[in-house]
Amino acid sequence: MEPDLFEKLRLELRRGSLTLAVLVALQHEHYGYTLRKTLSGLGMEIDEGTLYPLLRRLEAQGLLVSEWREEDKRNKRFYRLADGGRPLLEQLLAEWRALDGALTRIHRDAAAVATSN
Amino acid sequence: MELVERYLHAVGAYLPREQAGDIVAELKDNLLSRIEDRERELGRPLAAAELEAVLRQSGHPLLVASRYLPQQQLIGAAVYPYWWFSLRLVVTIVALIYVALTVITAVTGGDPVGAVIRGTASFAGTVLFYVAAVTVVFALLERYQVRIGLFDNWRPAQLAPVQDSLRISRGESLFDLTVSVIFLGWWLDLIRFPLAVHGDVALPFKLSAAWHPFWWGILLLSALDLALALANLMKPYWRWDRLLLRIALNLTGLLILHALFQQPELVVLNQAAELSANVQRLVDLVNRGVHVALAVLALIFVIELVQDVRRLLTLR
Repeated sequence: MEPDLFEKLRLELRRGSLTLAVLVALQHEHYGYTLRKTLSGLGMEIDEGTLYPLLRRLEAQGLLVSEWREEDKRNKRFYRLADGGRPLLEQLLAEWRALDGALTRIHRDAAAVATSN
Repeated sequence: MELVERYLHAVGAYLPREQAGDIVAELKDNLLSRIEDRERELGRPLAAAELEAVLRQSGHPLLVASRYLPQQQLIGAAVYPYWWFSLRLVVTIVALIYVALTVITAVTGGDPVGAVIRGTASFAGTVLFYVAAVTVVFALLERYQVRIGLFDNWRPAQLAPVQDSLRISRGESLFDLTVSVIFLGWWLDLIRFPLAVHGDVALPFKLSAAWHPFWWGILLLSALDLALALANLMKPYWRWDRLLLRIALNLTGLLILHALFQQPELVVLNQAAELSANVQRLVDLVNRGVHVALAVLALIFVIELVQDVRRLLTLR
């Protein structure tokens, strides 16, 4: 088996969920560094090389808004979920729950078949 | 902090000018926050090596900047199948043209080894150009997000039927049989064509003496070809024994063709008439035509050889 196969599949699995995690977390305002620390503290590691371009992309897509403000004597860019992004976030969350439910049922079904054999 | 400034300047150099300031300012805040956090943990300012480690962890400036650029790949997943399909098509067409031209040059030029070397070198340059041209076209389609709907209107019913590579079509066997019978008839002088095997006053040309050493060999090959076509017609499925026979026939055929290629005169005038310049030109032209015909035949033998070896591998 490919030595880095697990890492490859793990990255594939996480790619979509990172966007969702960022959108959910940005229901409260954050700047990049604190957002990353918050996500990491809750078990969702994301490296800065992924996070900052993602924030810009989501802003360009109209899902986030940002503003530069001074805090602790330094200029920081604060992001939050745009009002127009909220319905899409709800749709994505519903999709996530449906996927989670489907996967749980598939796993349960496979486990039951394995037991009966 | 001079190192941080140098790092940020390097990142900015790879970014579009209108976005560079904004992105670099945000990266700067992130880097300074990380450094401050680390200094708080250690209770002292970072040493040069520790600062360098923080920057290294952020990634090379070129890679950091490239993540902000709109195009992350030359050919993306949506364009890739079209690019790969076009590339294979173009390379195949160029290769076929080069093989045909090289064979003709090798046969008619008198320097077969040189012709193959020149053909291969020229092919490498040409094919690189076409690969680059196709890639540039598809990279532009990717860059401007042009949707290619080439395969949108396809119908399953139009897909090619599944072919069994070991099945021999009756048409193919009948064709082989007919060609073998006609050729044998001609070779044994039972059928008279404008080109006589043994010479006939009514016909303008005959085969030259260059063919004489191969007369029995060609007769045997044709007879075996006829037998093979008959067997294939009755049992239309390739088996290893018939495949081995055809491989042997084609290899022998190639050896004979190679020997014949060395002879400049394969066809001569039937009547020993005095050769005027015009008639000599005509004889030369006919000879060139026969050489090209033999080259085409050699190509067919090679194609059949490749197919048969693949079939043998399938049978294993």
